Amino acid sequence: MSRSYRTAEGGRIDRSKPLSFTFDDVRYTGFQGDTLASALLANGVKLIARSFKYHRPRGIMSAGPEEPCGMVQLREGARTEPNIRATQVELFDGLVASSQNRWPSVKWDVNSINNLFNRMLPAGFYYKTFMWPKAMWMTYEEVIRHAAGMGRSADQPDPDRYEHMHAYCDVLVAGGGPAGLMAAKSAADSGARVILVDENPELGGYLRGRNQKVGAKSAMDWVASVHVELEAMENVTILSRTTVASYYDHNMLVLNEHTGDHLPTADGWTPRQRNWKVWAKQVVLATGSIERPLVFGNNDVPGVMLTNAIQAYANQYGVTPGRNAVVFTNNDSAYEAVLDMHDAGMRIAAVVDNRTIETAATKPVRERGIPVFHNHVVFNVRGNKHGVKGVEIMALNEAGDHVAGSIIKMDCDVVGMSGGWTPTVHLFSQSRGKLRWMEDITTFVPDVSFQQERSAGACKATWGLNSCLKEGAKAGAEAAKAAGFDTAKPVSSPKSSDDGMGEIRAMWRVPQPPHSHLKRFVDFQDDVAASDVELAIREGYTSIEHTKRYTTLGMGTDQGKTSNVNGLAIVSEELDKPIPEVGHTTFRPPYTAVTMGAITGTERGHHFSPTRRSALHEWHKQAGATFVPAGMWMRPQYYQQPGESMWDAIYRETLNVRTKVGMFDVSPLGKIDIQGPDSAEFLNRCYINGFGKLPVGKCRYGVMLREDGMVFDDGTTSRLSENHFMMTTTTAKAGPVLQHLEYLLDVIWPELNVHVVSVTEEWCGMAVAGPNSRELLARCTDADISNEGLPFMGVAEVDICGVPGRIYRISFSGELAYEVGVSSDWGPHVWSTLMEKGQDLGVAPYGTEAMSIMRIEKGHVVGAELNGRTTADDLGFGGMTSTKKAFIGQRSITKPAFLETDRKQLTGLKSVDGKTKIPRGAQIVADPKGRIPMEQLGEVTANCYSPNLKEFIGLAIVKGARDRKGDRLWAFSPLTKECCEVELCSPHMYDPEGERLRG
Amino acid sequence: MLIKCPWCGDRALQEFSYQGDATVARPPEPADPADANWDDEWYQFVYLRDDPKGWHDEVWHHIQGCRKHFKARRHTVTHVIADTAPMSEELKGGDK
Amino acid sequence: MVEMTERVSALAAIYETGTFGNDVDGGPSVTLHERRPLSIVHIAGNSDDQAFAGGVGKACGCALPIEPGTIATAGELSLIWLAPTRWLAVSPDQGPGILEAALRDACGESGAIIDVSHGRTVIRLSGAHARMVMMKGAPLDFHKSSFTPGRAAQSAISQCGTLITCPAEDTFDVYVFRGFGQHMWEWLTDAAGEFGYKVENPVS
Ligand SMILES: [Zn+2]
Repeated sequence: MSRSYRTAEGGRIDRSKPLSFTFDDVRYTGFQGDTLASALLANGVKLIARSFKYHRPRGIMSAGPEEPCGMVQLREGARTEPNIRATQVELFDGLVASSQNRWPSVKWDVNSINNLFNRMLPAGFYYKTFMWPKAMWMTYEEVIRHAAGMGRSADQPDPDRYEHMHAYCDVLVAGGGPAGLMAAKSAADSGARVILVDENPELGGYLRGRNQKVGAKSAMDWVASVHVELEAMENVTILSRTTVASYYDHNMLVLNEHTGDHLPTADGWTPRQRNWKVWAKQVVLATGSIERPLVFGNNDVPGVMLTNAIQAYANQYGVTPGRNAVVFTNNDSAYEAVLDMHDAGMRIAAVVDNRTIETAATKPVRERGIPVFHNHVVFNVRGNKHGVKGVEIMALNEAGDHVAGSIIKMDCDVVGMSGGWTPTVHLFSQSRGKLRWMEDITTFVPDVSFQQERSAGACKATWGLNSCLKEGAKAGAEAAKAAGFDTAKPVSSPKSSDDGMGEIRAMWRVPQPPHSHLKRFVDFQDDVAASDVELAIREGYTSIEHTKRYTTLGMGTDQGKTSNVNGLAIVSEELDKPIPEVGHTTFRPPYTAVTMGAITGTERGHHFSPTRRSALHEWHKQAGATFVPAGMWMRPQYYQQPGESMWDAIYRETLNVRTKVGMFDVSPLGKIDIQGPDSAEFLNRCYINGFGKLPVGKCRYGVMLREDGMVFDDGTTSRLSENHFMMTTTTAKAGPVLQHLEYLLDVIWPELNVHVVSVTEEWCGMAVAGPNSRELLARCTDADISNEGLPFMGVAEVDICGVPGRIYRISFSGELAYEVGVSSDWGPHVWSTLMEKGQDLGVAPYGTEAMSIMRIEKGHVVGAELNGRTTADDLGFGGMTSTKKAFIGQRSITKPAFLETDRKQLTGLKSVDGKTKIPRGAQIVADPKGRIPMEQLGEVTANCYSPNLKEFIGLAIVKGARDRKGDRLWAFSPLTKECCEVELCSPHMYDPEGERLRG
Repeated sequence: MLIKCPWCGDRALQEFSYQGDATVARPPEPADPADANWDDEWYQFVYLRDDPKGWHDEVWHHIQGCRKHFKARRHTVTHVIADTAPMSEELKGGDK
Repeated sequence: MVEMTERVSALAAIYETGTFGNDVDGGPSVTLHERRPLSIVHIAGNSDDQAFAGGVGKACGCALPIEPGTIATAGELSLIWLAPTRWLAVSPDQGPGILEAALRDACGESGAIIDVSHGRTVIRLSGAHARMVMMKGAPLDFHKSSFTPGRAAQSAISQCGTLITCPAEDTFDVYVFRGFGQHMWEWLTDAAGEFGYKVENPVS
């Protein structure tokens, strides 16, 4: 007999396009239009994976996103991905997949011994066994994880491209089945902007797997015609191969579009996946329903499948998953499938129906000579890793709670099961909609909507094609109307037949003969059997949320699509409580797993975060700068010359500023333009010190607090005219300070007439620092920059190097220094001109490291000291604090805790022996050899070797430091074990009188 | 989420920055700094915030849009925003 | 002498004209170029203040657009709404400080006029897929029926604050702070790669 399970004809595959692929290193052939699952089944491959806990052999169970068993490791190398549902992988030429969760092979799996000892792995096994002794948990976990596994992730960077998209629409339709298509059409006809989303490569939903008619056409011809119509409309976007993964607040939905997954590789700039954020005014959920398994003995043997899946493989893919089937059902829907299976050439050994009464659906099946057993159940499946061998059937007793009579043994190689249908309410539930239990069809259905959405079709338990079409059209029109398209009306739907699943006989656990201990699986992905749920209840886990976590029921990547209802029904039976009282677990996004890549989008690699470059960036690069990220800015850290070490360069740059002249790019400092008649008053209220009397043409150093009294930021602010100021902020706080000022003006003092705007990027800022700085600038400007013409803290509007600019006489380095500001596009010209003109003066650029050394020498505070826990007084600005005006944070600093004398205060540090460096980030303690825990007196905030003072120095925040000058303490780093005895000193270690900068 | 800036209209959450409780007002400067209530008032303002379950009036900043602050009445459980308004106007809606 | 000093673009080091990205049927469907040199002035004030609104109108040749997200134009000059009290005047470079001075003279003591000509990088995208590129970047409604010529919106692309305008059908100007210029150029061209794109010489 041929190994092929492909039908001679039929199916929506392209038999002229054979595709070659490998599974577990064996080469097979499929066709364009196959999924990996259909192609494997066509080749007679039944064993796909080993189960999670017991390593039981598993095959393909479904034909869609609900697949709990048939998961594979897809692709190789950097593109490999675990846990991929074979039922949703479109076959492409050269596809490589392998089974997962097995060692060394899926056929000879060492860990399947777990199955023999499965009584040792009951519900809550992890919790029970591995909680003691505690220290052993790590070891157990490692072993378990290795044994369990769930495939492996790639160990190389993902070479594929992922993107984000953003869209708005009037009506989003989730699902391209009959209801969704009609909804999209009705909404679109009204002029509404519609986005129709469908997870499959082809629209049609469940119709793809059926042989139905819409009007006079075959259903799929009808689908194709609607597709063409919709596609021609400018107001419609159709997103195929796209899953509505998540439904968030305010009708925002996240879609996962598989733009390139069906291709061998998505080349060049074509993304593999896109994550869409869509804000929809209205949503129509037409997500269909999922067939439910029945819970009977060994219902997980490869070849036990959902009945609609067998039907779909036969109709859509021209594949018969077996040659000889038994179908076990509790409703009418399986009978249609049986007819299709029969017509596709399968032998149907029997239909086993647990219901007592024959329905109309039975008749055509009997007419084909297929035996139907009513009031019977399949209670056991015989089979192994090679698949189903047969089933065991028994009659039910009168009450229907036990099997009775003798066992009927029947051979077969595939078993169809149909336990009714579960509406796919995941998105509805994510949207905060309330569900209602419908006892007659044993399922939850959408009840009360919370957001702007409506369900239509099978996801609302509307069975039958005719009803779904009508309901879809109505929902689409209603949605459009609600979105403001008043003329919207349902498009008329073509007449179709309307058979549903008839009466259903709930049977949550199929009874087994006395003394049988057959495993009846509820959750196939997590290996949770009915007995596990029973045990959990016996052990007292009576809340459904607890049962879920204890048994892991519904916690797999399949989100319990096939197991939720069966699981909670068993809980309900065990607790003897009606299902609505047991409730249901929460549906959480995403509906199906979304790769990390799609979530990340383009925000990876050098686009992880934007890079901000100064106008002088290229100059720094040419000059050999090493860059350091500071916030988003790239700042030159130091400029290493041939033969120099990093520290050589840094010390050279530092000494050059102290002895000659250096230039530093200060463009990243925040600059805020402040204008308006109330500007001075506004600044007075923002800073601890006064700005009202600052003369025009002068700068002043200012400190800002938060309302809680802690220092927020500092900087120099200049008065350019009566009502015009220029504020500078630290680089890090440029954004927050602007936001703070805007808040104050919008919310606290709307009466002030002040305009603030960021001008950081308009200005290229250059610090020109060192004894030769005045001489250098004098060569480049005609303006009077003498000590008299431009005294310390003066500002002048000048022409410099031929362009207009400003010179501020301010100094961060402690030297005679200026800050030159010119419009950014001219920055490179001015900087290079200064460099050129200052060659004989010894001008050289310096980076952040040299700047950092000089600021430590001078005791200037930066972010490390402005850490949100220091007050102005702690940092030595007590004297600056005005007592004559109110300002932000003022009232807080009079609180007792702010006045305590042993607050941690800023201090300078010197290494006592002069040889040991002060460890970075160290703790300040009295005695490092003392008893642990010891009192932490403070912490080191900055440390360096000062090439000017020729010793190791640092800054620290230390308890009562101002009154402890000369005291010796220890700087101890528990992390690096470094230790240094330090002497507390004034933070102003270099030129404490500030004579140099005023010169 | 989608937040309606009173000026720019409906915009994505990521353009906004939450700026605190709109029901808390900064206490005015006291006439008498020795006023005993003053301390308590200030303490309340700086440190204490309600954490209501339900409707809450908030300040939001359209930081990556027009950069204006405005008020929003948001339900802290459902995130429903009943109304937004410029700082100078009153919020309506919700069950407040 | 000031006129002699050439303005250096933030994109100077990376700007390269030509055709890039995927080789697609029908050729590239996105065209990009930097808009430069420009005069850009930030204007802040109260539109109810006649001295201010009238002054801006006089200096620009068009009335202040009051409706959020709109643009007024006068010849090659655009006046873009940024906020209830903020606008941006943009025109081809008029020379250092010229537009700023004209506005300040016209407004007198009213409002705040700030030259930010050097503080922005402006990138123009056009073509059949320009809209798709924008959709990749910003969470705005770029639908043809929504973001129509004459509209402007501020938002963020790749974490950078941006001003986006639609000067003509299928054409978008993206304004970012100068320091983000290179990053934005790289990001936008990368996003356009899928459709194939052409880079043309800068023009104001
Ligand atoms: Zn806004």
